[in-house]
Amino acid sequence: MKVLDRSINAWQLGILIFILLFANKILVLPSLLFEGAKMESLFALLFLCACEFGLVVLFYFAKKKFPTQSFSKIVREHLGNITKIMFYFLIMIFFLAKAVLLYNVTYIFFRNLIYKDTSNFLILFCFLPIINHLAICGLRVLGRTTQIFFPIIFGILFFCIVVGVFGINNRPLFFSSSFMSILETGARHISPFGDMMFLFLIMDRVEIKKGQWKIIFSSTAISLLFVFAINLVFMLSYTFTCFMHPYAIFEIMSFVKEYGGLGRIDIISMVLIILLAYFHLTIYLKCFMLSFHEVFRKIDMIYSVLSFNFFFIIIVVFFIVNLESAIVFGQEILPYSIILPYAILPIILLICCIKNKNIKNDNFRKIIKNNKKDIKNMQKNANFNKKTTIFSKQIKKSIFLTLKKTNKNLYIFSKNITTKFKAKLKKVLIDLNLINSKNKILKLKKKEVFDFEKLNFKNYYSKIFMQKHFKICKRKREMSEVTK
Amino acid sequence: MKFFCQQLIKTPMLLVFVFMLIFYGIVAVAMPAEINQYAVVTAIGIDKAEEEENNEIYELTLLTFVPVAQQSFTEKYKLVNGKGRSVSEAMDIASLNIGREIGLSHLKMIVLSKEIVQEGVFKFLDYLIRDIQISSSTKIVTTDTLAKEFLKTAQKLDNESSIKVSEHILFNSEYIYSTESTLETFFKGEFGPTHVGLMACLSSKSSDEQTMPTAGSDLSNGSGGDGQQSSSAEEIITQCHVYVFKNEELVVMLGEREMKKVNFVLGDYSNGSIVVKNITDNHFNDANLTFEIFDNTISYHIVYQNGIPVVNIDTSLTLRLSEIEQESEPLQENVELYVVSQTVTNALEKKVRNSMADGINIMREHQVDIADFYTILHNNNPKAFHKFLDSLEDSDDYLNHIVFKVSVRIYEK
Repeated sequence: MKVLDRSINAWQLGILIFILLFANKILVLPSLLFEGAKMESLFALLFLCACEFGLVVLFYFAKKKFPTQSFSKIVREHLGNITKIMFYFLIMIFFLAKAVLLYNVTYIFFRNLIYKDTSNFLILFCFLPIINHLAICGLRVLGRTTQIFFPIIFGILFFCIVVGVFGINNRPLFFSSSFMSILETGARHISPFGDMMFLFLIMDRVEIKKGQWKIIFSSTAISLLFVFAINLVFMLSYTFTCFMHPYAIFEIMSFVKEYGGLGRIDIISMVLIILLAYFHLTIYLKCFMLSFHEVFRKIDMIYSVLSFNFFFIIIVVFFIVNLESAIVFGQEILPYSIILPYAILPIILLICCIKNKNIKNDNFRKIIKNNKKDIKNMQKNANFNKKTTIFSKQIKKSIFLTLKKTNKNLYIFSKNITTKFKAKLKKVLIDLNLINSKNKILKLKKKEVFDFEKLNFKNYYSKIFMQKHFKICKRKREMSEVTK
Repeated sequence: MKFFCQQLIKTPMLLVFVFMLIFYGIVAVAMPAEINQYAVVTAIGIDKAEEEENNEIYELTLLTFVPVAQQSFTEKYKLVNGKGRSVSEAMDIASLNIGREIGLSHLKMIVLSKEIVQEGVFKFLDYLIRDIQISSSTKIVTTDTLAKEFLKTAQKLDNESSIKVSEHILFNSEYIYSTESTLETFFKGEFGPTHVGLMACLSSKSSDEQTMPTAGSDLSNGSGGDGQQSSSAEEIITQCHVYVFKNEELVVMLGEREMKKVNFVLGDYSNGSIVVKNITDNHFNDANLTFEIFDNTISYHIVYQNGIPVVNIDTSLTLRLSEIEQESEPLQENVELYVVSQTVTNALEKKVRNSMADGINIMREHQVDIADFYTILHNNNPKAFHKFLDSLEDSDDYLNHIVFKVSVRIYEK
């Protein structure tokens, strides 16, 4: 089984953000927040939501600054390989810990309310194969799956909030907590936040066209608004008895069910919790995989899935076994890890912006990755050396720029190059602003001599470069003759 | 088949799905029915039993639903007892007695005996707060007899008629004479800033002792399931008081009339009636008029005068004349088109205003802020209110130092 990782578009990213922002925030958090700073805890929540939004804004600037680079490369180029490995190792642990917290809360919720006699293993058995499969299938599959489920999730969330509003029948006591207790509560319950760090892990796998940033920002804002609304409705519904109701989204539906006599309306919220749990765990696993790959570059990515499963099961089965330990873990240990998205990450980005190194474009690597099959065929049929393909890492931007300038055609050495592949490549190169629509991508037959005259290079460096890198064993002499 | 096997091997998720199907299928078939595993408890009664070795012993009575396979639908209920040093232990013993695990998901009512209530309710209710299965809308009531005896009456009612005792409280709470009495409302009050919780008190009485019947029993088998009281009624459930707790202790017991006065201040009702006596105007001659409440709105406006809060309570009532009692001949007027005269309106306003004043006096006398004026004043101006509280010798006695002004508006439906 191979890990596939194709890029996702702005809509898919927007939906992923929308879904991930609910992680660990709509079940236990509202009750804990109220316990800490009563109604004023909403200010703490507001601040934490703003921080989460800040991470998305940070991602926007990072993407603008380094449009095609991966975050790992940015870190490596500016801060060195060791820093990069250390940083990614911490991210790995961060997402594993988040997954553990989320799973525990969800599992205990279902065990307490429905599956009283269900063992941990049985629930793990329901979750792990599906999240593993979804994460292995890659980002694009995950993005498309979330696209399918998005209307259901959005609809249920909206329904829960609207129904919950009917349950508000209390007079809450405002301004009863001190500023310090608000701060303390915010700091104590910060662990469900910082999820938006995942954006930086998939930075190079996201294609955001001009004008599509509004999708990202609006989905983030709507999601955070929903989180805030759920917290508000829950607190206004239960006020002083919030501590008796640990599962907010379920309880706001339950309140209406019990007092409005609307049958088992609360089941709708359970469907939502299940769906969200699957997607949250998958995203966490994906983040773990990506960071694992950066730490252990030589190990196949599939082992990251196995490692995640191994550590996840060990922690869930032996260490964090009940809601109490999960809450202690979330309140006492996990908050320290939050310095990763809210302190280390911005500092790293700041250093990178100050150093401002010109990083080599590694989008060609991405092209190769995304079109591995086609390229493999090309290499096989054309009998070329790996280094001699036009998609090799060493290829220079200047070649394309010259092509663009002179409106010449780009020749690719291949026998079986498909039209689809040519179109795709052209689209990518146009997006990267390396060629324009006038440049054609043509197939260079095996026996043809590469005609440098056609290209009419004015740039001497490029000419030399072409001579150097477009060496084909059999035609070496011919080519050199032409260039002479 | 070969193709299917190949596809199965190629698609690991399909393998997992098939495995889950087989695994869950077998588990589901092999598992006993939940109804044979759990005793579905619909009501719990908590009494105090005699002490054993200087340990307090509690007696738990569980009203359990027993499903019986029959052609016609009949609900059968059974009473189970359990004694223990704590509610938790008594629950275990009751579980042993019935031979099934106690399932509290369908719990509708908790009954506390008077003795238990006078001791302080929280130590008995703590178990119930912690049990996640218990719904927050579970009714909580006290009884002037033993909870065990009360549940026996409830069992009869539940077995023999369509009336559920737990539904009494829900129904009664809409009336001006009573209050909502659920775990949620009780704890909201007790954990709120005023620490005042209300609990309804139900009593089981023989029909000849009855004063204000709310439900009948011993209905004709199968045919009279509509809740009508028959002439041969043996025992009935009546609401006698509303118990007011402050800081876990029972402070005062309010009767129906007193509760009505307090409810006028709370505005927490949707049904009820108001009687004005000795009305003489163009239409009536020394008549007693009864008005039915259709709608009510209440608002509180606060101003501070010399650091003392003045609470203006504005209430609007929409009423409908429902009964006329007068010595002379009956009134021959279209009942729908009858317009209430100013004299009647004034009498009604005076009556409601006096009731509200009495309600405030009840709260003042017992220092129980049932209407939660604390929150209203705090939210209005926290700084001024806390300054006012600091200026008092006994800050708990703030109700006696607040000035209340009541204005009533009467509208005719």
